[in-house]
Amino acid sequence: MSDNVKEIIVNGFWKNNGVFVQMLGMCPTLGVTTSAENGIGMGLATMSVLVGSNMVVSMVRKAVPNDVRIPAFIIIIAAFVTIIDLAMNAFVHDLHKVLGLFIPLIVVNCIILGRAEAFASKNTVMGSILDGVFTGLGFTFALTLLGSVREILGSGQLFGHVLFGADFQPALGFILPPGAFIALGFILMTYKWINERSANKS
Amino acid sequence: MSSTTLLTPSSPHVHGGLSIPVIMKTVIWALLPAAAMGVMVFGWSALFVMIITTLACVVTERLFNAVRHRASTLGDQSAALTGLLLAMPLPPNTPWWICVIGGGFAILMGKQLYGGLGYNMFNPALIARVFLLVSFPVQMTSWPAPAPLLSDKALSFAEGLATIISAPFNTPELLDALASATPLGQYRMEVSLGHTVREALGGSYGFDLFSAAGGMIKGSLGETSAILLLAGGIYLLRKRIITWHIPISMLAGTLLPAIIFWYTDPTKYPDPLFHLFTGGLIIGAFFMATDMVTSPVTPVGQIIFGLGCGLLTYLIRTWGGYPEGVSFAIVIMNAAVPLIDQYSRPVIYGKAKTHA
Amino acid sequence: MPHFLKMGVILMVVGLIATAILAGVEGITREPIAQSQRQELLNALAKVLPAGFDNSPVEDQVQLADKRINRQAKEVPFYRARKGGAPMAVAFLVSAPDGYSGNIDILIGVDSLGALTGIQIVSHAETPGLGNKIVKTDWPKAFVGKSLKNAKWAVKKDGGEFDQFAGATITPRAVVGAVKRGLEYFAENQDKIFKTPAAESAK
Repeated sequence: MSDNVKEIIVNGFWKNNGVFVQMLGMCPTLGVTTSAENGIGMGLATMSVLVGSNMVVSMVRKAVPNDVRIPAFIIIIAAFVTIIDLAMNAFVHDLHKVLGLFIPLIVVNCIILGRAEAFASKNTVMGSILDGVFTGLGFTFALTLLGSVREILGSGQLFGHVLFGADFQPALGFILPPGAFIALGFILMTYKWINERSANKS
Repeated sequence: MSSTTLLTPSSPHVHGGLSIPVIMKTVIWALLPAAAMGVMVFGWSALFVMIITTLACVVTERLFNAVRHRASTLGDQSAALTGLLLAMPLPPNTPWWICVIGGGFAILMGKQLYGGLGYNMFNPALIARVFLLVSFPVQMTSWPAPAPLLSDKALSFAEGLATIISAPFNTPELLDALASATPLGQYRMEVSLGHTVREALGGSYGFDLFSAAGGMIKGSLGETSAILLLAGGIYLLRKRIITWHIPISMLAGTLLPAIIFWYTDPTKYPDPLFHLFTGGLIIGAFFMATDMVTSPVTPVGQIIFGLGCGLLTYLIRTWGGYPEGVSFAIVIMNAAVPLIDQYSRPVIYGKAKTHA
Repeated sequence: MPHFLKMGVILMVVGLIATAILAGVEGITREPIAQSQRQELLNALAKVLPAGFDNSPVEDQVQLADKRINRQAKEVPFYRARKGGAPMAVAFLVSAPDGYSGNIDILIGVDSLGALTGIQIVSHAETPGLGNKIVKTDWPKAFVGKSLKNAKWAVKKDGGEFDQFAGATITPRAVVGAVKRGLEYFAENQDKIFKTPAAESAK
């Protein structure tokens, strides 16, 4: 694996993680992560859009002049979001019902426009696809982690499996909006702590 | 710096004699009569709840100090006060693990993560109470009827302990049998069914102001005795720990709309004395809204703050999603304090008034 | 070509291509989406209607409106189940406007004798862990077999026979009230419900 490829992977997934570091896409991050399943669904939907938009943006990067690149990117992103919306409605109807409102909102997820502008418009098609995959995976990882934490604390379940028996009283606050902020705060703290430790070691 | 150098310290040069531990201790003393009354009225379990929340706060504070390699801040007594303040609005038989979570949340999320005492934005005890209320609504709204110590209804020491002890994150069995509504909850439910206030509170429910003022009603362990809390508040005023601005304006903020609405339709809106003597209005006004860290600095700011707390309390009690609104109201106004301070800054002497 | 025109044309081309692709995707997914929605409706109907009907309730529907079914008196479809042409049961949506937060929509199935064959909460916004026990537990099962005559239509706290939940009375009370109003409407309009000819374009 060349250094370049490795850098794209590490940056997209961990070092420059869209949620933990760039703090982008906060609306779906905080809004849909009431369960691990929702987190993984939203993450994968976003990743599909990201891969598609990165690929097309990179393909047309020389044809689209600088002055109109942002509106052109937005059209491309919106088109992919609509495709994903329709496809999910048709083929994974139940998940679509749960994520509902948040699917069209992928359009305004800044991670996607951010990658189109910062990476895909300057790099090759293959590199852009790779970047899309790993940035998307990083986003999925973040959402699934947050969703798992909130589901365990707030409903006593993980991926719908009851963890602690019937009498367990979960802290409902964690599946309500304030719990999203509190849980994300502690995850960010852990992320920083891990990075600091590995920096100290080397 | 050499220790022999003579230094002129900056002003102020005269110390008022009040230090943080003294203030905290005075507030704890002022709370104790009402807390003792809570134990008298509701039995031993109320005492256990207070002890557990206080211990949880103190232990969390010490642990956090240790994790951050800081000197212990237990000496300022603020953790103990937070624990006691947190216990006061809890049901007298709150399961022990809810008390522990509440105490830990108050100190960790409410205070230490902001940087410790003096940097916190919200009253730690109240933010923990709000978290417990949205997280464990069933346990937090199961109110037992008064069972005074030494009366024949009283539970023994061991029975009192049993009402709050269970496996972690499980509800003690005794709790379910006791669940019922406070007068405020009763009023909201019955009026929503189309009954009048008199039907909701009179008759079978047997609510009367005399027992409400004395504390002999269903409710939280330390909020019910309005008279003793009032006495504690007056003691704090006499000791100049607090000034009159916040308590009086908060009471006015609730009572003025209460009088107006009661006057327009006494069948739908209860009288102002009901609002004064039920729920946590008095403890909120004298002990919680007045927290020095989370309230405005100037008298004008304090009056705006108090009126806001009172008005929000009335709005939540009458139309909100929960029957009691004191803690939500104060937490919301806590968030507005920096703004209030900004706009209620006194004009510095010698400066011309700026017309913005 | 002036600069602004060139930019406009480029954007238009991008837009046109995107539109063309979307039109294609929409064409591919139209049928599966309709299929899933229909399946969803069939699943819900199967849960509230008794087994044994031999017609298609989805096609045999009428649109009726009444204030008791929903406050705005909007038209709602009544899905009629028949056996050998004889009326057997009907399923329709009642809406409770007095839930804890927002409307609670309930699909109820009623047989020709006026007894409930099942209810299902279709949509709600009740508090997780409190009011949403109406969908998280098998509380709705208590309604099966109940009719206006053989049940006391209120929650236990109000002297009826339906359970409320610890800490949540408003939600079950709203559901019980709405189901009761639906039954009352059915009792008074049974003939109209079963005899009105099916709407032509049953979608």
